Amino acid sequence: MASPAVAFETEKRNILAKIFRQLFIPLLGIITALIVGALIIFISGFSPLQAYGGLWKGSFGDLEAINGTLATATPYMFTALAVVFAFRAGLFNIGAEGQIKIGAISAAWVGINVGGLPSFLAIPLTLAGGCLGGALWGAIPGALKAWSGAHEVITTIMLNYIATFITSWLVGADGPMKAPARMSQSDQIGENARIGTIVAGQPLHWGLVIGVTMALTVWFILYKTPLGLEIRTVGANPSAARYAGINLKFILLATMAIAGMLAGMAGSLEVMSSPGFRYRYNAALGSGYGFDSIAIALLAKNNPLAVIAAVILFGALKQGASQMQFDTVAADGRQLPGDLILMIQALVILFVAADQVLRWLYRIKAQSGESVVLTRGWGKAD
Amino acid sequence: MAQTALKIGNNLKVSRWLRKYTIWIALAAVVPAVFIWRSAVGQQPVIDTFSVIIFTLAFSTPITLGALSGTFSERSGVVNIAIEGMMLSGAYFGALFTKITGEIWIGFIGAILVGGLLALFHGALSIYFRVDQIISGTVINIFAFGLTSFLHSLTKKTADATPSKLPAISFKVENTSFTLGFVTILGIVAIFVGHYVLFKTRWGLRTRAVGENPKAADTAGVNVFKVRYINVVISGMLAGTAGTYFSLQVLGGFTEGMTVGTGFIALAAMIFGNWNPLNAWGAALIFGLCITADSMLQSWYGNITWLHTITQAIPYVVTIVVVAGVIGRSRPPASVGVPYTKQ
Repeated sequence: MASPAVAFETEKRNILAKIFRQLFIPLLGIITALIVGALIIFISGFSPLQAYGGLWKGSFGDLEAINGTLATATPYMFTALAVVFAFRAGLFNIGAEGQIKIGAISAAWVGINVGGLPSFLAIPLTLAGGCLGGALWGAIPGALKAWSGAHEVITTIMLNYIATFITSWLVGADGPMKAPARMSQSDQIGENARIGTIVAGQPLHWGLVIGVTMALTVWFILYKTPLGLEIRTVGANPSAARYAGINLKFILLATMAIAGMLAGMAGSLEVMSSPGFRYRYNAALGSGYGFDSIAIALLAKNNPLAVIAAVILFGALKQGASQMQFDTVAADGRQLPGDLILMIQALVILFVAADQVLRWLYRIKAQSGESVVLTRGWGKAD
Repeated sequence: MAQTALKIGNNLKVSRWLRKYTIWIALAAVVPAVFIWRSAVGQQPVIDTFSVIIFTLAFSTPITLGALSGTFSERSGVVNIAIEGMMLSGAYFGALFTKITGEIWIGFIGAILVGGLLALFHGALSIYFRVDQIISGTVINIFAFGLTSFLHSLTKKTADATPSKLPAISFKVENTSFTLGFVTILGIVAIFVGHYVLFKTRWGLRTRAVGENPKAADTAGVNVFKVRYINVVISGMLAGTAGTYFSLQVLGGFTEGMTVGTGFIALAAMIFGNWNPLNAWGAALIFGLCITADSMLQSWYGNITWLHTITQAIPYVVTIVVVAGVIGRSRPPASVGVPYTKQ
């Protein structure tokens, strides 16, 4: 009979083996993407070592670089979770861009108006304003899907454009929220509605901590609550969910509202604490987030906890790009264009999210139930 | 009794007919409306009406070709959200090849081939590797944006300006000259050819069969993989052609990210048009009309920012309304997005 200690040891080893198995493919995928990236760098006439050295230096090289990487990653933590959360209900949320913009401008509006209140009121109110804005904007495609069957891919893309038009008008030339003598920016929010950064003079703010908390919360909601079970059931099989007595319309609406709320939270935190935006809504805030967030969600294979790692990788690539460009100079004085990072991102997604290709490259057998299925085309309306 | 039944039957027929042609009736109504309005305010009604028509056709060109591109791919059962990336690549490589060779038609053909090549990659991923088609499409979109921007700065923006542009037909109405670009005309021709191919030929029947029920098609002796590959490549070539509208027809050069999301609008037009080329064209024309309205209103009334915001937003709002209302129960090809596994 095995002693309890031995049994414990075996179990521990099994867990380690399981973790290794789960991490093996993503790590191999990232390495493969970097190798293909190195080939592209080499063919373009640059030194891959120099380029990746610069990328490392710019993203993790020193404390300042790490601070920048994490600060870049912070808003994506929320928006990627917004995508992951909706994915679980079978909804493809491309709308993070509109949701973060509407959330940010709502937070700015509240923050400007409640600046006179003490901090313990002003901060929660501003945050709540942003969350509410995002949630309402997110609820629109949810409601449309629930009651008319309109496909969320179309409606969220359209709502992104509409959000961009509305917010750019609000802070545009004759816009009601435009700050005097500033292009495309709102007034600053009140002193009491602001949250400081973690290290003075560095961009990283407390949004990161809230973001990690949100990742854990989303995981908890999805896997440990009845609501999460219903959401996942709807995502896995809508007609079975209906027969099981789940209120489909409510789940679709609630999922999209929560997703929108997460993105709105990212927007409010950027306005409330990011030194880059100087406590104003800026029309540039959130641009491009729709597809970037989807990329991160794909990289994380729709796992809310994996989002934390995926977001940091993404932030590091984004943050390190300019240092890489600066450090990598060819013999004829040309710099390596930072847009290379986009290609590496695409390759990382290809090899990590679409692991069939990776398995084919390395002749690794697939384990059952491991391939990702996110969508089945445009699906049926119900 | 029988008469009442007949009446209801007729009403149903009329309402169905109305519904089927809503897009076209709305579009046709715009022409007299603009004419009457411009006469009423004492402007030049003929010139203004012509401007609206010509600009609508021009602005809708890439959306038209993009929607047709999506229709071909999806009718065969492969979701293509990479239209945007293929369009952008077409725009860039079209300009680059034109610049290098000095021959616009080599650039034009090159753009089409690059679009087809990217589509072949999409096909390999989604048909052979059975990768989720949304992932594959996202990868291509991001990669295309990265690749074109990367090469553009690496080549010191060589493709900034091409030595020539694609030809255009010019004509005069009341001494005002109008032009209709080559790609615009090609787009209109492509819609009719595409519609004919999809619904009147054996190839079209096979394509649709593969998109609806690949297993049945396979049993009937259709090579599902081949049909899908070819349609996806056609889709990519059409998207590449759409890209040349930006770089070789309008601007005569490339700028980073110059397709500004048109591929996604095209996707909306495809769904709006219920996976039917002619209706997708109608949808694309509505988008083109709204862009036209924006620019015309600005030139007629000056830049009023809130009006500008509204006219900019209209097509997107209209799409939501249409997708939610008129085709809320639209029916995509039954097997779109599902990789086929031969037993």
